Amino acid sequence: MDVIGKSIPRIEAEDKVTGRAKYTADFSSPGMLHAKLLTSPHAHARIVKIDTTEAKKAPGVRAIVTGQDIPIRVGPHIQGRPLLAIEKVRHHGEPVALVVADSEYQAKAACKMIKVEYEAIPMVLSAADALKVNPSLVHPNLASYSKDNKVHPEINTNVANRTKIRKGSMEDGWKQSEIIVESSFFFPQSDHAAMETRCATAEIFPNGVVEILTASQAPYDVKKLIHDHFFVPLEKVHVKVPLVGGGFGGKAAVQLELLAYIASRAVNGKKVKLANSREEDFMTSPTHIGLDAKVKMGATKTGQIMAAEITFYFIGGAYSDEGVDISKAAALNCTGPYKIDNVWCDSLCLFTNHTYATSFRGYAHIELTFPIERTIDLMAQKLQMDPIDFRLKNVIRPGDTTPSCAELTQSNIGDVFQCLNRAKALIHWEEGQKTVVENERIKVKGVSCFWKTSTSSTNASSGAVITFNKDGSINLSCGVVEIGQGTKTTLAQILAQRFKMDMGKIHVMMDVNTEVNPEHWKTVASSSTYMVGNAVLRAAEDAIQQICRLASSVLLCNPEDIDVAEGKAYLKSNPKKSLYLKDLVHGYQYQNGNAIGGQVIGRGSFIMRHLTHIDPSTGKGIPGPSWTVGAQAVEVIFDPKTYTYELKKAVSVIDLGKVLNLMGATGQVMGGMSMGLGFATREGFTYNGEGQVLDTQFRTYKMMRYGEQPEYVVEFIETPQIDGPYGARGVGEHGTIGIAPALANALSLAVEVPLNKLPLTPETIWQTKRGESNDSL
Amino acid sequence: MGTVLSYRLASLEETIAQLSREDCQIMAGGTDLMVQHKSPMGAPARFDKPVMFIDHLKELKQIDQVNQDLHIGACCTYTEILEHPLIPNIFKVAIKQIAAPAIRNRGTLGGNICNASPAGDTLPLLYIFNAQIRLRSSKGERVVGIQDFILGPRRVDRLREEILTEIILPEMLADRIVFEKVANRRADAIAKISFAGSMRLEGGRVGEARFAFGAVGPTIVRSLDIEQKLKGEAFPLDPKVVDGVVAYFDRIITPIDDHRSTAAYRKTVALRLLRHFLETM
Repeated sequence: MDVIGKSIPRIEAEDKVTGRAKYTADFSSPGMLHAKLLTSPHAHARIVKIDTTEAKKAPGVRAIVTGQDIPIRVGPHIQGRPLLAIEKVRHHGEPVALVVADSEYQAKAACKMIKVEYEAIPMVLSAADALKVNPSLVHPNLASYSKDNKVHPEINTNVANRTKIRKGSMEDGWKQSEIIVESSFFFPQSDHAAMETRCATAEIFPNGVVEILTASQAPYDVKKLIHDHFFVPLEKVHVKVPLVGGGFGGKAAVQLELLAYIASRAVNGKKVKLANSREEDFMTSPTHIGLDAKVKMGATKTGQIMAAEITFYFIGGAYSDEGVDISKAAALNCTGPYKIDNVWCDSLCLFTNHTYATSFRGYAHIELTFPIERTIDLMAQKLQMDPIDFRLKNVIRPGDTTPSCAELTQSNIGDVFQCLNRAKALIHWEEGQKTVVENERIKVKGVSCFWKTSTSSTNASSGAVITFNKDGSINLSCGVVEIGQGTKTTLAQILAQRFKMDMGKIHVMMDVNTEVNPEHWKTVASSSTYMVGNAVLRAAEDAIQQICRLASSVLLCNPEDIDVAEGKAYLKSNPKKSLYLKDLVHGYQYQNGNAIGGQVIGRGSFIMRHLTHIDPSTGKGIPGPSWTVGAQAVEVIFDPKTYTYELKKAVSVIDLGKVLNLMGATGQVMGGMSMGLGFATREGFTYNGEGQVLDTQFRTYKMMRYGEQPEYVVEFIETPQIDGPYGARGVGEHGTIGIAPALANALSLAVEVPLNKLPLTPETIWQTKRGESNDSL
Repeated sequence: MGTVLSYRLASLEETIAQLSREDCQIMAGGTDLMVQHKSPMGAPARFDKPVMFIDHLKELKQIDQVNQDLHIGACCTYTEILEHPLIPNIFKVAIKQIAAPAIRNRGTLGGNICNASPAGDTLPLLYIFNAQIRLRSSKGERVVGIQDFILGPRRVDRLREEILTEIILPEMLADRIVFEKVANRRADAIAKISFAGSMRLEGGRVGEARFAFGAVGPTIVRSLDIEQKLKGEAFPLDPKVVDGVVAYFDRIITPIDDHRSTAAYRKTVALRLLRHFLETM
């Protein structure tokens, strides 16, 4: 009956592959209206005048809303973003007006009839622009915004947040360093590019109930924000989320839901749908943050890292959203999984006139890992040490502390050393890191380690409720969104294992409805299995206790004498003496008709423990319950004549505590590696001189294709996390994190020039090579 | 709103007759036109002229050999060309790199020519094959060389009542033909640079050499002068000869910077492809 660790196909797989699965945009109803956004063509401009006269007369138009009609500002940490631009626009693609009409194309046609007069303001299009003396300010009124006390914006600058790490003594660190390496790195803004573009519908009923249907990773945040900003009582906000076609963090931000609510309110509560086109998904909805980084690292001649000075300049875009928290997460984990006693880090999130950024799979860790792991390779090179030996000498272990001085144990850090050793074997490091193969091409291998913690709210919580059908099968209700990660299948496994029951007898409610499902913080940070899995185990325990108590009065024994398996409650000392669960879970009825007990309803909850706020002057604090660690390696064949390369193999070895679903975990990691190769090799926005995004369609924004995938090798190490369900750690994001530096490390060796800028297209490699060596070819 | 007058006539003759009466936007596969005329979501594409559909016309879908020439109907899709036994293999190499199967099922050779994109994937090969374009109208027909037909980006020498009916591909004898496309991805990507080259040897000397570059200027770049000068040179070519040819193209290639690539990269890669072609056989 063991289902933990087995490869269980996703519960919803058949619906998805047969096209029966329904996503938010698939739901329509008669009389439903449609909203469209007029967006800004400018990156930074004052709005002189908006004239909607003509547009209001256009066929099918029901309402037009502009920024001055909704004088509110939103944002998860700093509330600085108007739903529709007020006074000025801050990025290309920013919503300026919203039109509600009978059909989508009527709404769009009317948008084009709105006349907006703009007056250009100097733009901030890079970290350097943002930081120069007397810069153009993206938010001159920053001081007037409300914010939480965990972020530290700097008034009259473009700094949205600064997180400081001050660990050990830098003076000692540099004194003990015999070699020092210093470099700069760049990671461009890009997009989540989820297959499903964002969509939300809103309807306001006469009794005041607001119903939102949305493709969201954070339905309970939507509920809270509708309450906070529009004063709708919480119990009257019902947020429903069907299956979501990919989230990657991009759908944890709340945007279209509030606009759909505004649209519905403008037409007397009628149902209104607001659906992004791909272009809007790229430039209007929030995107993947960019980074400029500077790293200086010192080590002894024997290869012990003594000091690290790290500056991160996150290119956060026009509004702070999660960017400010991402920059904090980067600081708290700035060294990667290495023991460094002396650390100085300033991590800044900058306002710029780009599309605003939000969480992206890896939440700061993919961005920080690129500069750190490149630096580690540069150090090894300078020390003339094998890059893996150098890493093995410095990897973090139980007993060490993180940059934020969180104490590490075997349970919360796992075993990076073993991960790296396995990755070394799987990539066949012994063949040599660089060899010449046929046609004068060069086969190179590169490695990277990584770690990641969740940077959760310190009071993030989850709940689970289980009820029974009259045949003894189980229904599980929880607030996790199925975004393609397969958590709900894993939760069913956790439940099946505890009840020693067939998976087919577990029914998980796939959609989320905030009206009925117990709240889950949000479906982010690779933490749903950990949080909800624990809640599910507690709900199971609660139900089993109730069943044993009831069974004991029928079987005339104590509750402790009874256990549950295979749809029965049985006497441990004599399993033949048993009762079917179906005869217990809705109350037990004696032969004479008397009944006892009642419906069994299992309840379980979970809340994060021992997480702390972060000290603003030193960065001390505990950001997450554990770190999932791993090592990754890639093998590529580089053609020095054309600067092109072929991806041959990508390896991940991850310590995930306990494998719950082998196929599910492997699939998550492979998908992560593929996504990592995407932004490592080609993804990234290009902006023209006017600050306009040029790659807003898949015609120009290139992604990895099926035929370009290398061979993927995934292995797991199991060092249990003692408070995880069956010892498991999160693994949703981790395959993505170390791939870009592993590739850059390999290619830097082949090209013989440090490649510190992503994406690694043949053209950018050529440019770097040319710039470094002045080779005019 | 959103109405588009369109024709889908039963025969080529009727189509030509209608074109003589009315200025129409001719549409074959529509893979470029529908993107260029993209409209608000949910609405049909916008055209300021009536649309004349020709993708169904059987007369434009033949592939025949006449004497030594191959006649390819203008509305043959890339997929049909790919699957046809008479088509020279090098064209199949190029076509396999165009877009993705869905686009190849719709897009046509005639469309690729009339769209006249500097990055058109079939164009460099059509140039080195000295392809001829047959145009018909109610007044008659004419045949022009591809290099005279394409005037600039999106500009061709087609009168408004004319329709491109077929592409004539003369036989080309060569010991080596290559087609190279450089893009950000191996498929479904527009070329940063493309290159086609052919060479025929006669007793250790160059009998005939031809080469053409795509996406490095407003139209495909080819030089009959330099090709003529190479005739009779000993092969393998003397390094000085190679340098001379490369230097010549260095002068006449004038690429631009855009979001796909930079002028410097385009020129460098184009010249390296040329040098590689000249130095290896």
